[in-house]
Amino acid sequence: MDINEALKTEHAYEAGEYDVAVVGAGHAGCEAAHACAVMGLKTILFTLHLDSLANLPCNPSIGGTAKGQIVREVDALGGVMGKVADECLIQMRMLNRTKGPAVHSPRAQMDRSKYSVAMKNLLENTPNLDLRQAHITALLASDEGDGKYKAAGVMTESKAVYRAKAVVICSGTYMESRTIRGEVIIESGPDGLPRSTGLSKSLAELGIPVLRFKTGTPVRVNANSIDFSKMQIQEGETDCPPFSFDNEMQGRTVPSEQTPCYSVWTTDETREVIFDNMDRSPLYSGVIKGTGPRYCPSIEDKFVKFKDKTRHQIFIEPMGSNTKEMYLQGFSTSLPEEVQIRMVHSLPGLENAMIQRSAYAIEYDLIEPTTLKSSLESKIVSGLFTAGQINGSSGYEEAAGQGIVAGINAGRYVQGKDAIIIDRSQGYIGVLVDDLVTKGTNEPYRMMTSRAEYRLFLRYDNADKRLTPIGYEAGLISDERYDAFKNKYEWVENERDRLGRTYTGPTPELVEILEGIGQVPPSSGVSLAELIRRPGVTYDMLAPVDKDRVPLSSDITREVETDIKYEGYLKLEEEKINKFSKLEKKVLPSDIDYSKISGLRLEARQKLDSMKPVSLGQASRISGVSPADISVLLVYLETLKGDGNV
Amino acid sequence: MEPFCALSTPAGLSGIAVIRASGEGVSLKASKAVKILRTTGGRTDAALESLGGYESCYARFIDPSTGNTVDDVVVTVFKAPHSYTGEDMIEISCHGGQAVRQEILRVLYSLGIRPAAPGEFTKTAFINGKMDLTEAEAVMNVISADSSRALEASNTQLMGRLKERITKTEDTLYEALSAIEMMIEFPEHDDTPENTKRIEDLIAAAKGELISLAGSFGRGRLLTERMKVAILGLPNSGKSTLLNFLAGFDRAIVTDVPGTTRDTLEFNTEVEGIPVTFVDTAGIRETDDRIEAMGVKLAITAAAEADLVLYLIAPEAPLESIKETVSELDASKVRVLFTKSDAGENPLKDQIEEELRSKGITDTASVSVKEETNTELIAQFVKDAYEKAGGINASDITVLSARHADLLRSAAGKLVEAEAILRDGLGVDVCSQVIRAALDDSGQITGRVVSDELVENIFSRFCIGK
Repeated sequence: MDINEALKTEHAYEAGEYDVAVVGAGHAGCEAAHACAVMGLKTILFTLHLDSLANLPCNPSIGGTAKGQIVREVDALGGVMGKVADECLIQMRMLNRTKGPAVHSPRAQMDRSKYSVAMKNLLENTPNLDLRQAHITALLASDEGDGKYKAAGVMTESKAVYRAKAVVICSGTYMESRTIRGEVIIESGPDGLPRSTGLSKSLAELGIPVLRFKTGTPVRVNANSIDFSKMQIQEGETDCPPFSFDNEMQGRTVPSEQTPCYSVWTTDETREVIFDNMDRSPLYSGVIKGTGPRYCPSIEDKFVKFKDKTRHQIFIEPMGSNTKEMYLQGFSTSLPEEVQIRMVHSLPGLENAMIQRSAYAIEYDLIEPTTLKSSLESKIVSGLFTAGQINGSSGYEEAAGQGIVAGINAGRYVQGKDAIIIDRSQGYIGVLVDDLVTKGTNEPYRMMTSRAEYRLFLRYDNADKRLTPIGYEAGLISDERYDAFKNKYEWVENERDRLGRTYTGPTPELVEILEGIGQVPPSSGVSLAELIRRPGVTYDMLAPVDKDRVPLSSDITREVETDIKYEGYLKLEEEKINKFSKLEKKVLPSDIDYSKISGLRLEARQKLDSMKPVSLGQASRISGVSPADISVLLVYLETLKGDGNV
Repeated sequence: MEPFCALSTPAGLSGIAVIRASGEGVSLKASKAVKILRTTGGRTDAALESLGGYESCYARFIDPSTGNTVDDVVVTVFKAPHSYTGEDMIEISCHGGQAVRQEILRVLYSLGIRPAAPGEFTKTAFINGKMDLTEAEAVMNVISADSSRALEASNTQLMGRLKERITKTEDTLYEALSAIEMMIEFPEHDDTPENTKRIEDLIAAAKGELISLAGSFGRGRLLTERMKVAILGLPNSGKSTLLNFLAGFDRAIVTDVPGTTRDTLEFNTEVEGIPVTFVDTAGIRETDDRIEAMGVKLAITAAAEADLVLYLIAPEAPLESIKETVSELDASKVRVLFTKSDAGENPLKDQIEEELRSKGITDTASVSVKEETNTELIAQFVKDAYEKAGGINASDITVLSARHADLLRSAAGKLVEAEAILRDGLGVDVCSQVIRAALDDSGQITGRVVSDELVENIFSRFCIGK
C-alpha cells in the first residue's frame, strides 16, 4: 500500500511528516530513534504501550558473555543502553575473570521497572524525538518497479497516516505473536501486552519473506515464599567498571550495596514431573512450529537433549528493588501452568513458592535477514531498515546493537550519505550484523564470543577505541566526549611507552613481589613492560618498584596492562585482520554469472546468485559456499582481471 | 572461456610432440587447419568439429592462409566436461621437430586460439571443478617428479591420504576448541578441572601428530628434490670418467691432464628408481690457478651439501693428500672407490684403508670403469645411503612440499605455545586464539582455509602447457 491508497481508506487522516519513523520501542527501537534524533533528524518512535517501553520481558539482566561487550560497543558509538543500565543496576559481576581479557564480560541485574521509566524519561527529553503510543498495522511504500519498493511512511490501527523518508521496524516478538502454555494458546504479545497485527502481512505483500520463530520465558515467584537458606548465594562485585565509558571516564563506580542472586539445582522430582508430562509440551506435540533458540533452551529441552546430565542449575534473580518478584533463570518452559507449579515446587527452597507470572513460549513473525544489506536496509524496500528480533536475533543487547546501526544508517539514508558498516574486525556488532545478513539464521541468534574471529581484539575495555571514532563520524558523540576519549588514549600510549622504557634491577622489593607469586627474579635489569608480560604479574603489583608512576584511573591502567601482556597475541590478531580485509576488498562484480562457473558446486552457484555478495570476503561467509568455492572464485577473478593472463 | 593452446611435451628434442588446445568451440576453430584423412570410426570426409569425445583422427595439418602442409598429425578430441580442463579440448600429436611445433602453434594462434599462460590448463581444470587445490598441487609434483618413486608418492597424495590424516588431527583440535568455548560461553556450567585436563590432552595429541607429519618431509624431500651424490677426488682420479659412464654420454671433458674439470657438473638420473643428481667436482689439491681454486672450493661445498660422497682414489694417489682431503669431509657420507683397478692397485692401499678406518670410513671398493668391474657397487652405495637417509616406500604418508612442511611445523609450534599459555594461566581465550591460528595453518594444506597468496603461488609454479 502506498501513501495515497492509505489515505483513501475509511477514516484515514494525515498525522504528520517525519524524516524517520521507528516502529517499536524495545531495545532496538530506542537506540535507533535516539541515534536519528541526535543526528538532527525529525524522528517519531511508536510503541504499543508507553508504560512498557524498553521492557525487559525475560531476564532482568543486561550483559553477559559477548552481550556485555555489545553493551559497551553500543555505548562507545553513542547509544543509550549502557547509560540507562548503569542507572538501574542492582548487581554487577564480571564473568570469566580467569579466562583471559578477551572474554571478560560485564553482566548486571536490572531494576526492571526503573529501567523502563529511565529510558522513557531519557527519550522524552531528547530533542527532535516524538514518542507516540500507537499500533502500526502497515508499512507504506511506493512501487519502484522490478519488484522493488521505497519506504514512504506507516499507518496506525486508528488510521493515522505518517509520512517518513525512512522507516525502522523493530517489532521484537510482537508481530502476529501467540503465547503457549501446554494446550492453552493465547493471541498475545510477551508479558501480557497486546500483539502487533497486520504489519508482517504488509511486509510480505512487498515480497519480503516472513519466517516464524519461537522463544520462551520462565516463571516469576514471590521472594517471601522462598526459603533462601537452601540455596547458594551469589553476591555482586564492586570492582567492576560501569557499562558506560562516559560514566567510567568521569570516575563513577558501581554501587557498593548490591542485591544478591541465588542458585539451586533441579532435583530428581523435577525431572520426573517433566518427563511425566512431556506429551503435553507443545514443542514435542507439534503445536509449536517456530524454531526455538538452541543456546537458551527450555528446561524440558535441556533434559531431553542432554540425557547424561541428570540435573541442571537454576538461578534466582531479583526483578528490582521495589518488588518481591524473582526470576528463575534457566527454567523457561512451555508446559501447562499446572505442571509448571509442580516443577517449581520440586526445586530446593521453592517448595512453597508463590508463582506470580507463569512461564510461556511465544511464537512470532520475523523477516528473512539475508534480504538485508550490511547497513540493515532492506534490499527489497529502500529506506526500510529493520533491527532486533525481527532480524532473527535474540537478546536485548543484540537488539540494541542492531538498533544503533539501523538508526545511524536510516539517518544517513535521509541525509544522502553513504552507510556506515561496522565490520567483523571492529566489533561484535559487526559480527552480529554480518552473520545475520550473510548467513541468515534458522533459530533465534544469540551472540557468543566464539562467533568472533578477532575476539582478542574485540574486548569490552577497548570498545571505545574501536568504535567511538565511528560514533563521532556519525554525529552521536559530542566534541567534549571525543576529546576526553582522545585524551584517555594518549595516556594509555604514554604509559605503555614509559613502562617499556623504565628499567629496574633485582631490588629486594622486586624479589619480594616476584617470589610472592612463585616467579624467579631477574638476574639483571628488566623493563617494567617485560615484567608485566610474565605470568601472574599485574600493573598494580609493580607499584613499589615503579617510583615515577603517576596515579592513573583503572580504565587506563587496565588497557595498558592488556596491551603489554598480550602484545604478541594482539599482533597475531592484527595479521589475521589484515588478511581478512584483503578478501573484503576483493570486489565481486554484480554481473558475474555464477551459473557459468562450473567449478563452483551447485549449491554455491545458487546461493551466490541469489545473495549477490559484494566482496569475496562476504561470499566466503555464505553458508553453502565452501573454501574450495572461494578458491575457484579467486582464480576466476584473476582470469577476469588478467584477460587470460592468469 | 576463449580457447588457448600450448605445447604440452618438453621443449627439447623428441620423436613426437603433443600440442593441446582448450576452450569452447576449439574443434571448430582448429578445423580449418585440420584436413581429416581418416577417423578412428573409419570416416574419411569428416570435419574436426563433428568428432565426438575420445575420437581421434589421422589428419594433414595445413596452414589455411597458404594451403601448405605443415605436418601429418593425429588429433584426439575431448568434449566438455570430460576432459582435463573440463572444457572442449583437442590434442594434436605431431612430429617432434622444433620448426613443426612452432608452425602448428603459429597457425593455431592465427585461428583465434591464443597462447596459454603458465598453468592455465590446470587452473582452468580447477575453476571447472576437475580437482581441488591439494590435487592441483599434487599435479604439479607429478609433473616435476622425474622418478618412478616420486610419482608414486605424488599419486598417494592425489588420493588425499595426507589430507585425511591432517583432517583427523584438526578434528582433535576442534574438540579442544569446543571444550574451551563451552567454558567461556557458559561460565556457570562447564568450568571444571576435568575439562581443563581434557583440553591439555587433546592439544598434546594433535601436536604429536603434526610434528610426526612434518618430520616425514625430510624423507619426502628425497623423492622430489633428488638425492645428491658428489663425486670427489684428487685431480685425475677418474671422476669425469665415472660420471660419463653413469650418464652414458660425454658430459665432462675427459683428458689425462690433471685439473681439467674446473666447474662442478651435474646430471640427473635414476638409480634403482631413486632420483639422483650426480655432481662432478674439480679435483681437490692445492692450486695457484685462481679459476681452478674456485672449482676446488665448489667441490668441498658440493661434498658438504651432498647426501652421499663418492671419494675416488687412483692407483698413483699419495697418502698425504688423501689425509688432507678426508679431514674436510663428513665421514658418515663418504664411500671410497679405488679407481682404475685395471691399471693396478695403489701400492699404499693398506695404509690408506688404515687411515680411512681411523676417520670412520669403512665402505670401500675397487672399481674399473674401463672394464666395468664392480661398477654395480656404486648403485649399492647409492641405495644404502638412500635408505639410511630415510628413503621410503611411496605408500607411507609423506609430506612432499616444503610449503606443507612449513605449515605443519608452524601449526605444531603454535600448539606448543598453546600448552605454555595454559601452564602460565594466561587465559583460555588466548589459548583458543592460538589453536585457531594452528588450524589456519593446517587448513591451508587441506584447502579449508583460503589464502589468495596460496592460490597464486600454486599456479605460478606451473609452466606453460600444464
